[in-house]
Amino acid sequence: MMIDRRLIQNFDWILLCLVLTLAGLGILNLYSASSGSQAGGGPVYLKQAYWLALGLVVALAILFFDYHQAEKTAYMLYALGLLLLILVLISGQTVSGSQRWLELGFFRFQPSELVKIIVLVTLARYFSRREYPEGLGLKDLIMPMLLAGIPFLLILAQPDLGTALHLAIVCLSLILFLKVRWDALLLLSSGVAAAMPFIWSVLKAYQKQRIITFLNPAKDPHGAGYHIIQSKIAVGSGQAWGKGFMKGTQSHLRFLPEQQTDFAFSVFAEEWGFVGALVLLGLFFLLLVWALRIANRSQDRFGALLGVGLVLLIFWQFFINICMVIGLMPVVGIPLPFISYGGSSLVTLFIGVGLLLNISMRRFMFQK
Amino acid sequence: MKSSQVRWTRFRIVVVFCVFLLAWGGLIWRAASLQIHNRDQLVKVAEQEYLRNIKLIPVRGDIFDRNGEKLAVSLSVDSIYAEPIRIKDPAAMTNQLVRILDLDRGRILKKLSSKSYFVWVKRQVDPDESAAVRALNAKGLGFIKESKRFYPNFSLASHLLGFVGVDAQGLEGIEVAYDDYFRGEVAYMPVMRDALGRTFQDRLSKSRPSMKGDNLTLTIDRRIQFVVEKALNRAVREYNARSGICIVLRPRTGEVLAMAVAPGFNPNVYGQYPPKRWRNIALTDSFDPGSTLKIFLVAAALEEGVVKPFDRLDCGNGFMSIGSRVVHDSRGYGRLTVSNIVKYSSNIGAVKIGRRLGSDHFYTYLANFGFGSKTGIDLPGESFGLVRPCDKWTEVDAANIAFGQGISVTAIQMVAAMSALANDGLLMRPFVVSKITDPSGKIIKKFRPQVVRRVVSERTAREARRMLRMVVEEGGTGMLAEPEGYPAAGKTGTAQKLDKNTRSYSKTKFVSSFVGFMPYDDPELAVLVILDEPWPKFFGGVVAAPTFKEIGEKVLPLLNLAPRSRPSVMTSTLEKKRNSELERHFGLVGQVKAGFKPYQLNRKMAGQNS
Repeated sequence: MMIDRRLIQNFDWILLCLVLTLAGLGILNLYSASSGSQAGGGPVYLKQAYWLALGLVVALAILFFDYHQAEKTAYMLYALGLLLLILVLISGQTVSGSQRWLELGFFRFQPSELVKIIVLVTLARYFSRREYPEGLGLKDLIMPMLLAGIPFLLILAQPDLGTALHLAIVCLSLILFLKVRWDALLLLSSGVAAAMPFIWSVLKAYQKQRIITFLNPAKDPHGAGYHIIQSKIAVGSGQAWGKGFMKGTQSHLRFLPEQQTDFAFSVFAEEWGFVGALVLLGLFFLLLVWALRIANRSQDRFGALLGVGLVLLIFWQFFINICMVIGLMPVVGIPLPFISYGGSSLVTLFIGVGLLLNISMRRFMFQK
Repeated sequence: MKSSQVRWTRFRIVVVFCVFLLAWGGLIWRAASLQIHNRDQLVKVAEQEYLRNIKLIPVRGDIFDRNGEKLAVSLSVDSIYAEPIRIKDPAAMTNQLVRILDLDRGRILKKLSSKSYFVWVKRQVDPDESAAVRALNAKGLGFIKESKRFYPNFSLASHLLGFVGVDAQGLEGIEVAYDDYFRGEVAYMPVMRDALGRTFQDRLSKSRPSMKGDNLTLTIDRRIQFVVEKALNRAVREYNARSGICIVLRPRTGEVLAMAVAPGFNPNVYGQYPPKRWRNIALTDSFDPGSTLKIFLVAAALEEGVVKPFDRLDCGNGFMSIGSRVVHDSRGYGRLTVSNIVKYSSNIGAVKIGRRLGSDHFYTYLANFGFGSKTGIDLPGESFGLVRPCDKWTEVDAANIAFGQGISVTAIQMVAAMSALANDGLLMRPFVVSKITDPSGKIIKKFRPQVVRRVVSERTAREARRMLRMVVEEGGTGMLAEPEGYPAAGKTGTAQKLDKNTRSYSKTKFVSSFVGFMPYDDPELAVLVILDEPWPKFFGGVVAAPTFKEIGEKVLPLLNLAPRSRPSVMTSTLEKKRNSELERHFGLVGQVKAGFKPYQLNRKMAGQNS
């Protein structure tokens, strides 16, 4: 394996800078959000910094391999991913009623995060060899649905509704991206609609409560509605210019729940105001548009599909989280990419970033 | 890749880009609606969550005497509270606390075993108690600094000062009358609280405003008050009185220099005394004044010109029939001048002067001297006394009232009326607070002497004073009141109390008093001494006058008034002579002879009076 000189010349500094800026803001935000709490194992922002360093190393390591290696080994990776998920169900760590973690000696790892990327690679591999000039028909949908559906069910079984839904929505939107025939689309959506009552019956009581709460948060302001109300208060009381770094009352006085993870954006918006929120949203926009551009400029179908898949992965995670904390969606446990605390999530994101950088710098390798 | 494929992919990517634009538009719109459009409401909600206004109760203002001596101060002491939900073993903690603090075991155990967040264990504890509890270092116990009222002179002026409750609210005396000033203005300090309810003062305002209520300076002189209480307590003890009252006024201004009630109480631990002990009976209770009232009758008669000081009235053989009743004097005086009627306190003479004056005039003057209405002293609980309208007086009533029976007055009314005579006929409003200052020392309010009204002319007042002077001179009923070295003037009173059981005037229960002023020619002090039910001695001139004398001898030097004459070498001879004079007046000095009836009133009369 060798690194071509051209590869270094084509290195996508802008993507890396955007990602590092976001991760830096995330650590800064964690510094404020965690200043009040005395969690064990050192300050949370420092731990996040270590995870960031690990993520960077992983991303750079990925650069040494041509991303087409992933295309070739996609199904093996897929099998490995399923194995990991089964392993979690068998011997995973149980945290607050869910088996999501694998104990890896000095740290815990959440395989479902990694599986999201593996499924994207697998789907990109699957679709890159097929063409659907008329769009995907019903039959064409069976195989990709199966590829996405198995890990989806395994993650749902942990249970981890947030991650499972995230995976589902990313895969569905990727399939939509590929164009689906109208009749199949109709059938698909009616199938999803028909499945709703079934999903409702499968949901845990607290999950049902969250959805009811989303529809009417004022019903139980101290119970189920607390999260969403507190988050809206924190964001809104930041006003235009914010309360200033380390000066957020709602976060520092701990009215805001889960402020290091799911509600990190509320902390940011409270302290930096509407202006800060605009900057953060703007950075995400630039990042995702830039990533779309990478996918667009990719010269092969696998690269483009994987790029789009990764964009959708980051986009949905970002979009669902923000919608949740500003009260546009029920509370689901999805962290904000790069900003929320969480090692597995950050490392997985950097794997994605590594793949995007990879696609970006190797775009000229296939020029005719 | 085929170019068609590329075009197709590009088209799709543009679609995704458009979806992104929509998504971001939605997010920004929502953020703007929260952070710009609804910000005021959400800021308010946030403040409701984290802002708490802590009520800051100012430290209660102090009380000083006229020389700046402290009469009441506020100390910062610990109060101990508990958070029962944090206490694991209430029984063990109860044992520990009961060992240190004087507490009821059962009640504390019940409190600590409850599920509440806050209970008081004991408020305003001693420093050593607090230190001992601190040393326990127990989880779930806390300390709050509270201000506690402390009266450094203990029982001194207790009835005047009153006391405060555990929440520093004035309950009695000056403490309640000027409560609003002492309390100062309650301020609210905004503090932050977190979701667990813990407050953080330093987040908003670094320094707690130090606040204090206003201070009061009294007209009271601590030294005089001390002398008065000592003398009064001794008299109460010596003559087995139920209680005693003594008031010292400055006649020219109405300033109260001392006001004492015996027995006193220690306001630091007022709860250990029965509530009736707290009453400032100098203001709240009224009594038949007895002969002390005669001087106001005579002053009225002089003012109206119906008698002259040296007019002689026939007091006969010491018995006078009114209707079917008989008024007694202690002996038959024959023809007495008006001056001597006062000097010897002749009841028959008083009745005759009263008849010359007429009930309506007498009533008017009594009212003008302030009897039957509040003096307006700046203390709570003052009563009116009882002067029935003159058109309701029967002939017997009019006779009774002439020598001070069948009329009810308060001690403060009596001493204020006497001061009016000492003050050339001007009645002053008595007062105890001279100024109110804020914590920085700035004077907020200054109280000036207030003239209520002119009651009699200067000339009448002077003539009345001359007669009062004669009372304490040789042969007068108030001989024992004369302080060494200072000429004094005054009037004795020995009133029969109405026996509630027999509904007639008691033969053994008296209210004995002496009210006067000194020095006679330039009155600095007006002093009233009252003993309730002294026994077996009971004449005002015997039991109350010596207290007056003692107060005069000790207080006048404090006012930088040097004695006029050196103590005489003749003192002992003079004393003997005085005693023999007294013997002539009263038979045995102050002792009740068998069957001795200084004054009798039948049941029917007493019934009508009540």
